[in-house]
Amino acid sequence: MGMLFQIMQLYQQFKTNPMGMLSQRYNIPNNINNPQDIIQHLLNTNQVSQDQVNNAMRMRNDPQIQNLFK
Amino acid sequence: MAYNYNPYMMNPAYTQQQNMIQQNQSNSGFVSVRNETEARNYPVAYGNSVTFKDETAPYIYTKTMGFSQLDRPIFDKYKLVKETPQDVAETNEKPKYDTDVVEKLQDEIKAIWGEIEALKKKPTFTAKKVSE
Repeated sequence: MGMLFQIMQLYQQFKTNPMGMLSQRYNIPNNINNPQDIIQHLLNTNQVSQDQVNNAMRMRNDPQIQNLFK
Repeated sequence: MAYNYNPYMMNPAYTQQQNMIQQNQSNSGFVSVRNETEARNYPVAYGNSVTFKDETAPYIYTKTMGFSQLDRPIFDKYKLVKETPQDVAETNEKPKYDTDVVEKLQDEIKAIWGEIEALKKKPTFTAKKVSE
């Protein structure tokens, strides 16, 4: 029950402030608040690779995948 | 009561998405962009270079990041020019060497050879001791 409660708390936290949680998880400074700068920060700190960024951007721009979110 | 639900069965939509992603990953290495601005703003890691293909215009862009935060990114733009059959024919032709130059200088060459032959025939002077 304790674990379930913690999971629910995390879910609520993510729902209300997703950027806050992600910033904490990936050590993103508060002054970096747009997607391009966040990705550049993750690259600069070697938390993601260039290939991962390229694949993610390719997926984001793929119309077939965009349809899945409609 | 027996349930037919199998939690380990993959969702067909998710499987289809995985297949699409795998197909898209096996490409030529170009990142597609809609315009030059998108290419300029694309995140590139230090020491890396990314090549972009413009989907709306005949251009290829490259963005190269240096190894230091002080280095500014190098951005190059290349225009794609379609080769026509005439262009191919011209490149296949043998190069024309300018043979007119030798013909034009023929008279000058003859004159110079004549001077050389004349110089060969000129008498040479030798020093001779004059007795006192």
